[in-house]
Amino acid sequence: MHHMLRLVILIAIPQLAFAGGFQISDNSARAIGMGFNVATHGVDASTVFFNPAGMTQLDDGIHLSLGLASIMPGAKFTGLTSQNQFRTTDLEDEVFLIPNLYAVWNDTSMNLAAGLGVFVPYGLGTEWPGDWTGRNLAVRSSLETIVVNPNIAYSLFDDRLSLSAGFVMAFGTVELRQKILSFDPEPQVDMEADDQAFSFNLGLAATPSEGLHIGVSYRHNINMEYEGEGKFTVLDELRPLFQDGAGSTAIDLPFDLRAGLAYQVSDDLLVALGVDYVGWSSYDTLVIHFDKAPGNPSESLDVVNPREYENSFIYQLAAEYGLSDDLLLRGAFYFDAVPVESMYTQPLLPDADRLGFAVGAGFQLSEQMSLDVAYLGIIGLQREVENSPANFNGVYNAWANIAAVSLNYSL
Amino acid sequence: MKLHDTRSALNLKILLLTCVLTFALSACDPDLAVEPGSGDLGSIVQDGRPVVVAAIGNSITAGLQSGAMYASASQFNSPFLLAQQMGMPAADFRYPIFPDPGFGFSRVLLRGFNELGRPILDVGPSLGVISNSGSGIPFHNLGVPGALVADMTDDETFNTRINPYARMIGVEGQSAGATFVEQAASLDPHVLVSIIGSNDVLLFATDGATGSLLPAPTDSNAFRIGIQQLYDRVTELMPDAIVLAGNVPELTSSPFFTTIKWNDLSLTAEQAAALNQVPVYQQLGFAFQEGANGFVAQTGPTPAEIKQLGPNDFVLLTTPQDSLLSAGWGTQTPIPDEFVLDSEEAALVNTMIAAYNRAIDAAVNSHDKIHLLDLRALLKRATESGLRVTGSTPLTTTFISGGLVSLDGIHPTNKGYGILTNEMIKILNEAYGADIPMVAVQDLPAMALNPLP
Repeated sequence: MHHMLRLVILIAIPQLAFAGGFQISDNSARAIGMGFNVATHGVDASTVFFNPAGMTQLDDGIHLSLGLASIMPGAKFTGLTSQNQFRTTDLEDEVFLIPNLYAVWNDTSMNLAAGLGVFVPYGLGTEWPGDWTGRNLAVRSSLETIVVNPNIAYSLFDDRLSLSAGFVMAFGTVELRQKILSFDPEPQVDMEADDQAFSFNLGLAATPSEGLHIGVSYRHNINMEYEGEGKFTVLDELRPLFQDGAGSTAIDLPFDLRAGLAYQVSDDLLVALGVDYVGWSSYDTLVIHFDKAPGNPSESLDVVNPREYENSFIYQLAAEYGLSDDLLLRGAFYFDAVPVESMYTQPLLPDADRLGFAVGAGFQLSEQMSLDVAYLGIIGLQREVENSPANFNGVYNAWANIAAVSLNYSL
Repeated sequence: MKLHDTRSALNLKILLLTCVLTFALSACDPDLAVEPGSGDLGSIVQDGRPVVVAAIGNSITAGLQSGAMYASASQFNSPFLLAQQMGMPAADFRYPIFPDPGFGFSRVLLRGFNELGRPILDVGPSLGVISNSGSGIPFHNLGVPGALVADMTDDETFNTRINPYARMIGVEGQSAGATFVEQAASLDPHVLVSIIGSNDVLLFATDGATGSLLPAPTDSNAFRIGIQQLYDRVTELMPDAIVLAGNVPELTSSPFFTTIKWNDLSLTAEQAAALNQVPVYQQLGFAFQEGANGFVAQTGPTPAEIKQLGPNDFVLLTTPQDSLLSAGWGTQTPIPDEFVLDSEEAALVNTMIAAYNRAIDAAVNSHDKIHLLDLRALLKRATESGLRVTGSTPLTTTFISGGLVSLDGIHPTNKGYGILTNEMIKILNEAYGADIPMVAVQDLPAMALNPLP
C-alpha cells in the first residue's frame, strides 16, 4: 500500500511547509482562496480534509475533487561570518507540487455520507547551500507525510447538525543532510528514515439558522517513529571514523483543531471567521539517533536538538462574492502566530509569524463541473535570533508564493 | 546585532503592498535591511589613527600548529584574526609567512585512521624559510615559537640567537628596536597581544623532564621578576596600548599529556601472569592483572630507575604508538624516560604553572590597561565541558576528535585560534564599550588530512 501510493498518486513528492511549523493546509484551491477558513461547512469534496462533517451538506450523489498546489518558498539568513562580515544566504529555489484527491458519496435520504481523502497535512523542504555558515545545522531537510483518510458523517435534526469520524493512515519519510565540521573537507551525513502510523479525526458542522454555519474539525496528532539509515560521505582515509549504520528519529506530528463561523450576508456575499489551533508543543525535542556515532562508530549517539515549540493559533478572515451565477471571487487574510520563541528558530525550519493574503476564483464550468483557482502570498515577519541554544544567531526572512487549482466534478 | 526596526516595518509595508497588488507568482522577496555588525571600537582608539594591532610572545601568539609554522595554518594566528575583526586591513597586518610545508622541529601529519579508529600520524619535512622578511619594518605578529619570558626584553642581536625563529622574526636595525617589546612599540599599537610564559616550564615537560630542551623550569622567583619587568617595560614604551596578557594552561588541559593514559596497557590473563614472573618486576612490587595496567617506564637514565605508572604519571603523545602496541614498550621494555613525565616531575611542573600564573596575575593587576587573557580557564573549560561553536557538538581538547588542538597535542587548530580570538574580543568589548564582531569559528577550516600520495 505504502509504495503503491507513493508511486501512483504522488509522483511529485510534496515537501514543503508553509503554515506555522511544517503544517500544510494547501489542500484545495477554494480553501486557499478562503485563507483555509472552510471548516464551517461543506461546499465541495475537499471538505474531507477541512471538516468531513460537511460531507452531509453536499448535494445527493458523488463528488470528486482533484487539485494541485504549487509552493514556491523563499528564505534568507543573514548572520556573522569570518573577517568582520555579515553575509546573507538564500535558501535554494525549489518548487513543490502538492496534489490532493477527494471523493465523497452523500445520501440525504439516509442522512449518511462517506468520503475518502488523500492529502499532505505536514511537510517540509528546505535546502541551503552546502558551504553555508549553518551547514552543520541543516543543508537539506525534507519531511513528507501523505495521509489516506476515509471518513463517515451522519446528520441530525433535519441536517442542522452533522458529525463525522475518520481514520488516518499516514506514510512519512524524513531526510536530513548536514555537514560535520571536524575535518576538512567536511564529512557529510545523510539520515533517511520512514514510518507509517495511524490516527483519527472528528468533525462537527452545524447550521443553527438559515445562512449561519459553524464548524469544528479535529485531527489528532500522528506519532511518527522514523527508522532508516545514517550514511556518511567522507574521504576514504576517514572511513574508519564514519561508518554507515542504522539511524532513527521521531516526530509527533501535532494535532490540529479548526473552528469557523460563516454567514451568508446576502445572496451574493459570504463572510467567514476562523481559528486554527495547532498542537505544536508535541515538537519539543528532536532526537536523532545513530547506531554508529559519527567519529566514533563503536558507540551509538543521540543528538538531542531542543525545539521547544508551543501550541499556537492561526486567525482567519475571508469573504466570497458571487459576481455572477458562474463566477465566485474570494479574498482572505490570516495571521499565523509563530509557535516557537525566536531563540529556538533554526535553519531546518525558518519559522516566523506569518501573514497570508489570498485571492481566488471559482468558475462553474457546467452543471457538473467547477474549477477553482487561488493565489496565496505569505510573508514571514523578520526573525531576529539571539542566544540560540545552537549558538547560531542572525536574522531570518521567509516568504512563499502559492498557486493552486482544483477541479470538482459531481455525479 | 543592531537592526533597523522602523525601516524594517516600513519595508514590510511596502513589501506587503507589492506582494498583494501584483499577485506576483515570482518570488516576492522582502529584502529587509540588516545593519552589519557595527565594528564600533568604543574607546579603544583615542588618537584618531586607523587601528593597529600588534603581538609579542610565544608559538600561541605566532599561530603555530602541528609542530610547525606553515602559512596555510598560521594565516589563522589570533592577533591577525583580531586585527581583521577590528577593521585593520589584512594587508596592513604583517606576520611572518613560512610557505608550506613550513618551518618547525617536527611537522606532524595526519595520514588517516586505522581500523580501530586510531590516527595514523607521520612527520613531514619542515625546513622552509620565511618569505616576507627583509622589509626592515617589524612584523605586527612578533610571536616566536619556543620563546621564554626573558626573550621578550633580551637585547642580544637577533642574528646570533639560539632560537632559529627569533633569528628569522626579529628585524635588525636601530629604528626597529633591539628587543621584541621595542619592535612592537615601534608600531605604536592600540592593542598588544602578549601570550608568554608557558615555555618557561613546558619546554621542560615536553621531553619528559630529561632536560634536552630546557634543563630546568625557570625559577618561580625569577619568573615573577621577569614577567613584572616585561609588563612594566610594555607599559613604559606603549603607555596608551591596551594589552591582552595570556597565562599558562594546566598540564591536564593538553592532549599532549592526556591522550595516552598511564594505564592504557591492556593485558590478557596469560600476558599478566608472564609479566608477574619477571624477577626485577617482582622485586619492585609491580603487579599485573587481566585488563588495564600501568605501563612500566624509565624515570631516569640508569636501568634501575624504572617504575610501574600510576594515576599521576603522564605518558607523552610523542611516544611511538607502534612501539607501545607491538614492540613491547611499557611491558618487557620500559618506556624510555623522554616519553614519560612521572608524578614527581609533574608535581614540579604543576607547582611552577601555579606560581607563574600568580606572577602573571600580579603583573597584570599592577597596570590598568593590561587585561588577563585567561588561557588556563579557557582550556580547563574546554577540557571539562567543551566550548560551544554552532550546533550540538562542542569543541574539546580531546586529541583530534575534539577539534580544538592541532596534531602536536599542544597548539590550537584554526578553530582553536578563532575561539582564542573571540576571548580577546570579549575582553575588549566589555572593557572598552566596543562592538567588535566575533569570529565565525564554524567557518574556519577544520583539520585537513595529509594522505600519502
